[in-house]
Amino acid sequence: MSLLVDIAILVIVAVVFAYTVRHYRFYWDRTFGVQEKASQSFVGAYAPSVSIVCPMKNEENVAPRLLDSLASMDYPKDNGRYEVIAVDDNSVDKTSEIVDEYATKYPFVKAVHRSSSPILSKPAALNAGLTFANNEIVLFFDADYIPPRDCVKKLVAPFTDPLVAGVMGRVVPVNTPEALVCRVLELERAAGYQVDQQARHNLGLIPQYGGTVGGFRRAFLASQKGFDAYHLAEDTDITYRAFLSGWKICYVNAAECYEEVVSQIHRRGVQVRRWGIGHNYCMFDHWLRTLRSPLLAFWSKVDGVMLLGTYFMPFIQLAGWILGIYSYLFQPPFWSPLLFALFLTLAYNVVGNLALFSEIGSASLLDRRNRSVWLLPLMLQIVLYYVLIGSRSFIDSLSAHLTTRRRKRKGTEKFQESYLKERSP
Amino acid sequence: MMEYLVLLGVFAMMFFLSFVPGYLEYRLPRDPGPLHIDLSRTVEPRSEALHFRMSSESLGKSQEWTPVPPANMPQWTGGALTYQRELKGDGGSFKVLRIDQDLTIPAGTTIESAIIVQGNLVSEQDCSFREWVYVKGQCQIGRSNKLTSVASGSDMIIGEESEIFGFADSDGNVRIGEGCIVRGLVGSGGKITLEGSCEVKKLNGRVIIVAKSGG
Repeated sequence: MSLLVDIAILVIVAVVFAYTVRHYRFYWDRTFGVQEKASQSFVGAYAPSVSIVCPMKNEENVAPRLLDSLASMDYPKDNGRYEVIAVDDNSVDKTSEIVDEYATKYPFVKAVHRSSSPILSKPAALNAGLTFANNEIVLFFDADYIPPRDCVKKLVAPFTDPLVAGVMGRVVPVNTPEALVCRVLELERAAGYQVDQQARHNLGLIPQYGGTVGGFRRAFLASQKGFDAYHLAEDTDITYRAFLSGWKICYVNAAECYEEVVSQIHRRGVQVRRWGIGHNYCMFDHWLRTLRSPLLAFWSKVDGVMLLGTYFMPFIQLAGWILGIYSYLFQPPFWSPLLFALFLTLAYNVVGNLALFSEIGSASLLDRRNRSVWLLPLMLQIVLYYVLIGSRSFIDSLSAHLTTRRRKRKGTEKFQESYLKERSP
Repeated sequence: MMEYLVLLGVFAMMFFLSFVPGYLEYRLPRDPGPLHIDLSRTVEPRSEALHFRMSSESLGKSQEWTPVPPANMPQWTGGALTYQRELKGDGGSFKVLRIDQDLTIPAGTTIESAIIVQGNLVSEQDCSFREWVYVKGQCQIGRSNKLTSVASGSDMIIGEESEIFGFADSDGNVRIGEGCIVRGLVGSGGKITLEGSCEVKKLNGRVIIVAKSGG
């Protein structure tokens, strides 16, 4: 028993150490390395036709703000080159009327209404929007986002590379003065985008499409029949589908967009739990394919598998702590105390992908937020909370995956058919 | 037993000490959010200067200014209506003066504080500005001046052999005199004219005119 516990702890320490090295590699690359600008020299010069899909469910407070921003976007709007598809997803408030009002006001805004739909999910709403998209590139913005006027120009620039299937922009919280939680989440966001995503882009690894402030070639989405309507992390799923089919995704740090972050910690917990379950489904679906893929380079495979394990890490952490305490109290071999101390140190420094503290420091430095970094110790409590939430989401996702509770992938045949019909001679 | 309690106390103190800076930043935020994104931005290179100008304008309109007492009034203001306030920066606090009318700064003056001029600004030769300058109207910098950064809402002229360590940005036209050194971006909503040989890191204007040396 003692030997088993010690071996388990050693394995956990090795895994945590691997994540630590990965994060420090990212930190070093972003802070001191050469930065890859994702074809930003083509901004303004390259303007392919763009469809923007905005899913909205009971968003009467924020929908006009997003639609106003998209209406005043600095992008050529002639000959249908720019269209906004506002999807009213079974809303019971005034979202439906707002969407219709904008569709009447602007010729490039289309209103799509989903009512009494069989599948009530964001990816299902996105698929509904996709069936009305006519343009080469499809971008996605959630209703509570505020894109600046140059956002679309910057996001489409990487598509000058024919191997690029998708892009992802930077997300910046707008409501940071609202609550302390918002300020701490701002640090987490900064590290996740400014350092983590940019470093993965620099190093040619797996930059992730995050579900909003980004998009794909319509041809690629059609080949995948759109998004999995039942998936809780359709963004991660489509990211891996892109890389495993030989495409690339680019991260565009300059394409910044405001978002509203949650201001209550329990609401953040609900978000993380949902993302965790969805992300773990992706891990079950894609980890072996990632390792076996002939299209991915060695380090892309390593990063791909580690990225898939992001929401598995909290469970690993918790298991490590429990085993470490058990080993220390009941059956300590001569090296256990040292190991335990080492593990706690590593654990403090990294929890999966949830913003390594050095990455936060680097992000604050790059953003010139000299004082915000003082809030860093408050991340400790958030990290502990994530460990509990993440562990629960791993157990939930595992049990759902092993039983019949998880549904099979469901894309949109209609979208693929319409795309193929349009392309057929 | 006692030594364990002392150790525990020291540990607890160190633990809670780590939260003190965070608490201070939360109570008196110096990095007030959100992180700036210029929603009207279409040209990226000038965003720093544009942000600076927007901040300076809103700072100028704020209510926390106090009139400078006559005894402390710097001579170079020439008795103009002047207000002051303290601002906190990376290297500690610094003073900002707001002058609510046109201003002419005599030759050889050194200005330690940042200045916001609500009218036009003219500086004579050999002036030195230790902090930034924001001018709402026209800005005419004299020969051999030294500045950190300067922005104006109307035309700007930088005199010969002046040196700017940051950016020079104007909504109107900008003329850069011969022998000038600008270590940051020269941005303009109109045209930028370089009068002869000068050293500029980057230019961003609608039209760039390079005049021959000496005219």
